[in-house]
Amino acid sequence: MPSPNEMKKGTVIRYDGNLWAVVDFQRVSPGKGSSFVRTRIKNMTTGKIVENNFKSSETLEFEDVQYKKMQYLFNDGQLYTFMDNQSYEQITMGKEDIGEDVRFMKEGLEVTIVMHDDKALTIQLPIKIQYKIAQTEPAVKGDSASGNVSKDATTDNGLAIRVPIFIAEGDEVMVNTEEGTYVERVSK
Amino acid sequence: MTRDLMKIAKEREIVNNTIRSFFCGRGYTEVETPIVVRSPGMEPNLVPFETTVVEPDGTKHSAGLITSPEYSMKKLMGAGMEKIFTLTKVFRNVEELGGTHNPEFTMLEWYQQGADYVECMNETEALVKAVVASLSPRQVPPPDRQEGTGVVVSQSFRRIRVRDLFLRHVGLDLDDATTDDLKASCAHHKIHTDPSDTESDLYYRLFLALVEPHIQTVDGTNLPPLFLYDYPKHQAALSRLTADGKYGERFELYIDGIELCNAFTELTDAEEQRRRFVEEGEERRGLGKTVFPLDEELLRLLPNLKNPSYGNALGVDRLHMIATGAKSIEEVMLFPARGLFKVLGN
Repeated sequence: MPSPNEMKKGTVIRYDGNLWAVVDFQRVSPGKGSSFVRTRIKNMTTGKIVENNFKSSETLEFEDVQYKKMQYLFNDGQLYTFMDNQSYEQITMGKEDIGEDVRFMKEGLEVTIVMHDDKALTIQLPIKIQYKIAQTEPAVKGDSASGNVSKDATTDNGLAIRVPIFIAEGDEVMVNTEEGTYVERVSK
Repeated sequence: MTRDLMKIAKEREIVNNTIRSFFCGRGYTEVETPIVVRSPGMEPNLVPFETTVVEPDGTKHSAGLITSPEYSMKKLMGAGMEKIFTLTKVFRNVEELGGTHNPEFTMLEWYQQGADYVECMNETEALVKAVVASLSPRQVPPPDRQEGTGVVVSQSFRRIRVRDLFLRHVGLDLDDATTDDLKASCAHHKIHTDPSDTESDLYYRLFLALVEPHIQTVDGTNLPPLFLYDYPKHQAALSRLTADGKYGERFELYIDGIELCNAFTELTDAEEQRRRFVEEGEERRGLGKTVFPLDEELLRLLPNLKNPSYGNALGVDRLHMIATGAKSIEEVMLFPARGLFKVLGN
């Protein structure tokens, strides 16, 4: 039987007579005693999200899920539409199923959809995604002397990040999706 | 890469220098302790890195990397040193790579004989304020940093007993709560439990769900740092008991939601220590983990310690995070483990 330690985002567990998808998880441990996994799990029937803490040594029942590569097309504010590039099959997912990752969505982005019994549960993003800087203040002389090495910027899909001062509007940059942080400038 | 390596290095240099001058100014001696040892630690919860020391003639000795310099520090005290501190690397396997964790991190441990954990709280508060002030000399947080930095320097740290927080947020009096009471309280608050749960597990389920969320904020407002103290006995295996015998004299310091350090009025009873080591060894065996040999030298020297004596273990990387408002331990390390072991893009 798997341990709660093996959970990932999108893992489906059978618990309390229901199926739940793991939305978020974090391992925690007290100074003494067992360690735990703090989770936010989503009831796959009702859609309700609850917080639950599992002890690492508990046994949990994991359900088999499938992973499908799909391309993000568009959203209407609530529903996000994805397409399978081979079969042209389309699926839609609610904003809340995608969770905090909605901020990384941009047209044409390839993501992994976590499926269970033909139902899309959540998505997994690539670790790095490339964006264009839509807005940022130009660097000012003396910035680095006064200790300012980074500044605010907004990408073309509206993502707010901190970038180094040498980044200008129109630059392409790589962003780490686990941390939501700037990685590097993509050479032109 | 955007990481400003020079900035990280300079900040860490200031943190380390401030720590050293703080303790030297208070009559402490800095000591160096071994990292590769025979018995790296007995805590059931920790997974030490294991290795082998090989002599030129092929003789082999099982060994491990320390999870804390505690045993060596206590031996030095047992040999007569009264006030000592060390800045050392420690190692814990099966930990997160990132967030507030890294498998290898820098630990500050210090010990003093003839004083208890209340005096240690005073000293810890002074140390943290000195380090934070050393990185923001004007004692005013720069505008692009969150308020945490200012809070640390300008306000008195709060001190609350674990029992009082439980009474307030769980409605349970730990003074006389039994395992059944803890179980009933979990049921009452609709908290998931498992048949295998021990008293300690049930306590921690209540703590995680109902107490911890209130440590840092009230109604969205950030609170000053908190010394949480007097832990239930099962959470304080290496500490002296309080006068009423119900709690262990242990404290943790929470700042901006980060657990910064863990301190005890140390247990100096070698017989009791031996019993607890054996117990922890059994627990490790049960969990399928390596059981390291008892450190007999430590047990031999332990009775020489004055009662009270205190010890504190503080994560230096986390202190660096707090002092600079960093959100992840990787922002304050030159070589975070994720960069070493997980190639970017994988």
